Amino acid sequence: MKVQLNSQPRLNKRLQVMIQAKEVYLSSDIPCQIRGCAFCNQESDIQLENPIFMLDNEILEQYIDLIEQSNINNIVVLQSQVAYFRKRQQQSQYAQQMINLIESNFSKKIYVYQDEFSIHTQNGNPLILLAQWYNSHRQFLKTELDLCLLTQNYQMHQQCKNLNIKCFTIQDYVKLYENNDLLDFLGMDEEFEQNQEAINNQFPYIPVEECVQQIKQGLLFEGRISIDRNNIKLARIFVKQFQLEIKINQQNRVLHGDRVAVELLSEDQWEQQQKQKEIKFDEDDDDDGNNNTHTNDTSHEIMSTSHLQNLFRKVQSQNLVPYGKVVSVLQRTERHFCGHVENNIFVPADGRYPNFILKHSKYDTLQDKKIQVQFVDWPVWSDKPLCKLKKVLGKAGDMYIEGNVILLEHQVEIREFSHQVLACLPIEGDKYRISEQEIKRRMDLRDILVCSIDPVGCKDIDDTLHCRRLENNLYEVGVHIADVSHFVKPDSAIDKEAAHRCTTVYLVDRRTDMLPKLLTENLCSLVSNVDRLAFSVIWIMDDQANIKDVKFGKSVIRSVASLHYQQAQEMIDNPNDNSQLTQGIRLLNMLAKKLKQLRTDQGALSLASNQVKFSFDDETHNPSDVRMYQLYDTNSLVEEFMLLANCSVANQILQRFPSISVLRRHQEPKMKQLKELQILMNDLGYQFSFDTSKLLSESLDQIQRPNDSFFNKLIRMITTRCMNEALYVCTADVDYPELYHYGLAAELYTHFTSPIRRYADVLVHRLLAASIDLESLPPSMSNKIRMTRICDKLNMRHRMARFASRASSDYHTYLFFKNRPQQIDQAIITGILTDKVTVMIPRYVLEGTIDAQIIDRMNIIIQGTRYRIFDYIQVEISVELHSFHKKIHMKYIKNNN
Amino acid sequence: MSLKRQDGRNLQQMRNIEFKLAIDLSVDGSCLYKQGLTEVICLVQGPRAKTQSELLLIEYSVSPFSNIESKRSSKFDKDYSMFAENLKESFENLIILDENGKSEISISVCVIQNDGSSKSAVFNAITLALLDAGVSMKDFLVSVTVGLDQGNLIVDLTQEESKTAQGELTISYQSRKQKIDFYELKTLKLQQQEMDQLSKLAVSKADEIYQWMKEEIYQIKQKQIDQ
Ligand SMILES: [Zn+2]
Repeated sequence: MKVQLNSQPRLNKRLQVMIQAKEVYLSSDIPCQIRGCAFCNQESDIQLENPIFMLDNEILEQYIDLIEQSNINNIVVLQSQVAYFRKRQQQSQYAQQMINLIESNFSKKIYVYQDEFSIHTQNGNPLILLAQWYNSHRQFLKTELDLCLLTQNYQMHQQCKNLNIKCFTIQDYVKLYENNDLLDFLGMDEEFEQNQEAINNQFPYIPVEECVQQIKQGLLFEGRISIDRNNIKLARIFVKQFQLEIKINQQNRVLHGDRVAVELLSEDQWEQQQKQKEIKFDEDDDDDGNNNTHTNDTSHEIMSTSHLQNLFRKVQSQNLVPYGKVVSVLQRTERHFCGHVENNIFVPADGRYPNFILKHSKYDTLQDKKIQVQFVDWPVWSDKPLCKLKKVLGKAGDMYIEGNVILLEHQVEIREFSHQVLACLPIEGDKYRISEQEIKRRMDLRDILVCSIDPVGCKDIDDTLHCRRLENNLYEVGVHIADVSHFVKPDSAIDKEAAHRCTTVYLVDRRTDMLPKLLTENLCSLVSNVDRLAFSVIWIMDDQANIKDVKFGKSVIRSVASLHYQQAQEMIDNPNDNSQLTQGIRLLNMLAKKLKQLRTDQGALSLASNQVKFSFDDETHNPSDVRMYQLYDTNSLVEEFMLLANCSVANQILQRFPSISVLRRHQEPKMKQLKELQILMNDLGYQFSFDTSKLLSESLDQIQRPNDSFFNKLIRMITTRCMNEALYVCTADVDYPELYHYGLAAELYTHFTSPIRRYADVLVHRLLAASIDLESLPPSMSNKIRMTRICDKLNMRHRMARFASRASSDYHTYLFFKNRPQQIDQAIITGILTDKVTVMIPRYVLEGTIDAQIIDRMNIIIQGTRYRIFDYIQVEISVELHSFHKKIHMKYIKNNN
Repeated sequence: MSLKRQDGRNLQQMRNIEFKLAIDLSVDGSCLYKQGLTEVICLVQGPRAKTQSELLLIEYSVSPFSNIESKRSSKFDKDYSMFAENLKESFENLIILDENGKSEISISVCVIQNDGSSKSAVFNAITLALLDAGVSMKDFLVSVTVGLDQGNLIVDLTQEESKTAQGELTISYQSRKQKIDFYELKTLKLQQQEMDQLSKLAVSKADEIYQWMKEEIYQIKQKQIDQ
């Protein structure tokens, strides 16, 4: 057995380079997996058949759609290739698609050869060495071997020629062997002339290596391009290293999300930063959402060079905004774009991206379609980037297709569940019955009056409750959650798929499930009058809702009623209803109010969201009404017990697994923004302090205006926007006091109550089951590094899901107002910008801006009339959709009286 | 399909073991022991006339640069002094000193580099250094580390594997008596059946190591005789 020593430089936590030795043990027993190879003689589920292909990274990255649709069915990929793509899976949709192809593995036979451990693929290009080794198995096969290597690399072609390995470029291969329709997936080729002149304002890029040098010397700055959603000409980078924002005035062919090198312009071209007082209304839509910045050691080194020191001093003291130009793209954004076609121009749906030139053989077939494309190049002579077709999505304007576009643009997985995933479901399908044996292992709670309370039409019911009076003024309260982890076994195909999707995504008119329908709407959904498996939390409480005891356990329940909020509210309010169930709900309601009081005393915030609800016209399926959600007491009833269950579970799992638990934490709010709000509130004569969440909560309670219930809600919405996002964390990374959940004022918090639609909850169920010795913890969950990575992914997916929901809501708002031109409604002035004000229409929770003359930070003049902030005015509404975000045009209507 | 570990080894494959005896001629016995990237050096003085009350002195140390990445913790320090005690106990029972109790032996052992399974490397290095010093022993003590990682039984864990393993068991084993001497189990949670499997695997691997070492030492002795 041969040993090879590798030294791989890597970065440690403080970004210092560490060189770590690593041993690799090479072996010769890794099989080729060709069907019937007498040399390797391996029985396995993968048996490769002619023709067999090997593909280089460029092809796997750039032509994956083509591969998917081609007759290339037997593929050998290298373990090192998979590792390369897996590493970039999060940032790159290209890599993600490649990993999907390998993991789904149902249409193609893909064999991952462990080249890193093979004695045959060392010291040279592993693809060529492997092809050579495969060819040497010819003599052990009964049939002729047809092995083909696809690469775009000229050198590799030469080598293959010498070694008698069949080798093609993708273009040649497609022309020789495939259907001509695939040619459209190849993109540009020779036809475009290379030697055209650079157009104005564009110049060739500095080579990447040179940039890296200059960045180190502090001559160039590195950052990710962020382009304004409403104005593509506005671009900026944020240099994390120096906490410095640079505006870009010469974009030189960049796309939103590119990692670029920027050179500063001379100072006379900079701009004085206007001291703007504005309450930022748009949620921070930074895609990586990664706001924690480290200043590392090297930054101090660079900082000490004198020219930079002067620069930073000047920027800070004079409030300057430095301007720069892009001199090189270090790494292009690796995402796909959805949009539509106008002649040979592709118009992306996301307004942060420019129009592309699309090459296609039949433009007329694409005219009214939504399509997905991939970036190819942006030559210096072109004012637009070039792209190639990936996929035709369907007819533009079709509500379903538009929904797909929203999902794709937010990287939501919309493929069907693969047959491997479906194979994990119980074979009896919807005839599944719980076995007697399973019931014996569990608490049998089927004789307890358990019910669920959800929104109208909820099909995936994951929580139910019960309450009964015991002796001595004590109560038994139970929360019973769908036992999803009973059906989703660790590391099974269905588990991996759920871990990939992370969450169910809700659009206004549809749901994209994390788990197959059979589980979501049937076996796991805790509907009434059927036996269902549950994971229960049962407390003993006194009449002040103090917890005397808590226990956890798996159970069987039989819900007696699937109620919706309004129904449950009516039962509580109906004095003639004294059924046992109603009494139970009344007790729950009473205890929920006590719990809420306890939480409020602790300093929990109650904030408002701007979520709206649509009603649909049955015939046209167009939205017929938009309203704020109506909340009943019963909403809060369910919420209180879910919060309590989550807290109890968080305590339990952390105690048992201090270093690998998955919790949810909410850090302190953005103090700068709260400070601005405080000044404004004080000016208006309200007390406003936010030193603790309790003080903030109390401040919010007393901000009231007579005859205006919306005002308080509005201030809560504005406060919500000062909050940080709550995040999943693996407790390996965070110490105890930092696990605090600010908004809920909870020492520890986690997600346990919605396992049907959130993967985090599935993980927590497993931790909880292991903590009470019901099941052993799956091996993969004891890996801290892996758990941390999973949490990052959960956070990213949840953020994307939220943006997708908002985009969908915006789209439907747009449809609603499109059919109702010139609506006039009342709006409240919510903020003052430099030359306009932001206003909100309470009825639809719609926001927009109106031109105004600013007097000071409280007073303004609109068309000759003087107003103060938070005054009401009349506006006319019209809506236009731009880059998913509704663009609200509001016109001021002068009040005649 | 052949399942490979992070470093390309098969599940129950040891890393390569190399050792050199008599590396320091100023002492009575010495050994440089390498098991993959884990490296231990051991020096033995004695048996010689007694100067203190104790028969056996063991000095166990870990080089401050030994750990490939993680740093020391207070937990580590506690573990550290405990292990020195364990070593002393194990070898005290094994070494045959003259009947009058007039001689003593001192052992100094140091982990130069730790890439996992360092405790078993320490045991093995001491045994070899004692052999080099010509100290007579009642039995041949060998040691091995095994573990359960991602549901697989593996042997000779690297540092990386040690971090992710659900359970890690180190034993020292008296090969002739076929008796487990030192037994240390680090685990998050294992079932009885899994623990039994681990112990069984550890014993069979320890025996393999014993057979191999015996052969190696025989070869070395042969060479010395030939010269
Ligand atoms: Zn073969």
